[in-house]
Amino acid sequence: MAAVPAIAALGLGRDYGAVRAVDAIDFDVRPGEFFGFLGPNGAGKTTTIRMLTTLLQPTRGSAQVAGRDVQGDPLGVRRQIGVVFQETTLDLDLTAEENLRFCTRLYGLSRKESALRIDEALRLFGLEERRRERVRSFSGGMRRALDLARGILHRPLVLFLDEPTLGLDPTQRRRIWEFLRRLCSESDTTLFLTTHYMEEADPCDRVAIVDHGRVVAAGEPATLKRALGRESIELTSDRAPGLARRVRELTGVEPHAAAHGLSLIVDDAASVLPALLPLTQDGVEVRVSRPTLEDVFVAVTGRDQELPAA
Amino acid sequence: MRGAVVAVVVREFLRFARQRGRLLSTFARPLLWLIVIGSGFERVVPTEGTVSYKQFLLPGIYGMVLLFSTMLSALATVHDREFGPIRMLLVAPLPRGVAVLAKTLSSALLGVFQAVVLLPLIWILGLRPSVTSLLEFLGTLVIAALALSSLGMLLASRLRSIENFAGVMNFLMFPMFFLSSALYPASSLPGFLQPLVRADPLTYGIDLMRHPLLHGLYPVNLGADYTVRFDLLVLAALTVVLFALACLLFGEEEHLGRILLTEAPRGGKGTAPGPRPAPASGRPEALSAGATPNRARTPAGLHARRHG
Repeated sequence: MAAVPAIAALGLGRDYGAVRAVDAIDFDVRPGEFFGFLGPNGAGKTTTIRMLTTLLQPTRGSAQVAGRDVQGDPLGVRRQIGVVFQETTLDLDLTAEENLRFCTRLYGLSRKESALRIDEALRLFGLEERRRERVRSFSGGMRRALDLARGILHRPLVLFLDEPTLGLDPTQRRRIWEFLRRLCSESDTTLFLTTHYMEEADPCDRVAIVDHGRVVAAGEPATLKRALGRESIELTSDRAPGLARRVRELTGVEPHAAAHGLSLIVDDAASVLPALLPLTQDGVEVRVSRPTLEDVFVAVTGRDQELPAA
Repeated sequence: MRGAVVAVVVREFLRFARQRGRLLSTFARPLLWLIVIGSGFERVVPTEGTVSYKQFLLPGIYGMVLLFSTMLSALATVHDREFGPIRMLLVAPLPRGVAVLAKTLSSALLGVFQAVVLLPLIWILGLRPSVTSLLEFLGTLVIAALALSSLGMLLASRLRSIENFAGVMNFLMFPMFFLSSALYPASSLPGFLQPLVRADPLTYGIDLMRHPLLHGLYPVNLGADYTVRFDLLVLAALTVVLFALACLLFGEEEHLGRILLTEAPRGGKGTAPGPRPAPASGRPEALSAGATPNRARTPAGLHARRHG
């Protein structure tokens, strides 16, 4: 069972007339994984999601979702998936509860089961108190939360989310990510999410970075970042003289002068930090800066650096 | 499948009930026509026999209620497909036709419901149908509504955006209403218009309604033009054909047209440049991903161009 990937795409591509929206995408998503599909606007993320959710026929290549082929068995695929679209699909004139009930009816859940799951979903997304209010009165974040709630009501094996944090403020975005992380850890649901906010994608188990309709890098966020380059440790102190020597003694690394103190370039900050601990008692501020996924993205798509191969 | 139909029907009715403006206009429009046009024409149109002009007009008014209701539902579908729950339907484990069926049925039911609310007009205008005639009349409402909502769905599967509403109104709804036998017997229109009269589904819908409503009266020049059997046959055939076409084209939309709907770049020949500057080539998704796609504004009227 574990051998069947939740999603498998092989050379998946789609043209719109003469334009290649998605060139050829390859990736696997393991069951239960939280998978991030990152890339700038126009990279082919939405088109890929449309193909995986059977809304769009691929021009070339193939894809399986939950072991079913998107072209050969679209109904089978749809039976296993939930989709949260980029644009909300809520009815503004209906209440939160009515919007959810539309979905439980759609999937033919019994009245009892439906009530149970609606309660559960509203609780999970903190919308219990607003259940009888019309969605029109909801903030963007609450609407998104309700969209998510709707996506999981029928307990899909694989949940697709297209830019779920688009247009939300940072607090709301953080909340949505918390919901998603919780959903992934508390259930067997596989999450496939697209976003162009790279820096958000750290909680993902694995990510694929796409550009111009191709996967340009893939792996665990930490691995990708490590592959990109080394980490730097910044030391800030007003008693700079003597600090450089002490650092050299403690770590064996030659420090460079930086804006308000020193900076150390190391392979793995975590292994060096303990040695620097005594310095903190002398009022030296220690900060580690690591490459972000954003940096990885810039590195692999910017074309002015050596690219780590996908 | 039943769940999907129930879901859509409940949703349509809830929305209808919550949209005050729509609610109001639904009932105000037919009353206005009945009172103003009815009173005016009553003086002009010579009536013989036992049917007054307003009584003759009444089935036409019900036809109008059905027409406006189903066409509004159809236009709402165009919007829904991109921003509404229709998308949920398209990714639910249902065969393609179920989405179309659910929408067609809910649109027809909503139309019938509005007509039923206006039923008291029958007695207000002095008609006294028997129980059988009344039941028959309800049946005719359902049959006419199904034909019209199928037409609406076909329209919805072809329309690109709701911006074409004015076009639909001017080039479809009004001509359909005026060419039907709503205001005058179909036979009283000149010969060159007869083909259009006969091509208008509303003609048969309204004609069919006239049978039970004016039953037992002896209209000399104001009555039904066709037999019940003929009306039924035409409407049933229309419903089947239009519905089948709508299913087919809605399906096509999903696989080919959907992208065009949600705005893929149009590299094709003969397409007018969009209102926005063309994006850098190779980044087509910038168009499809944005919330403000460059919908081609077509001149008022139906978008007749075939996709693909």
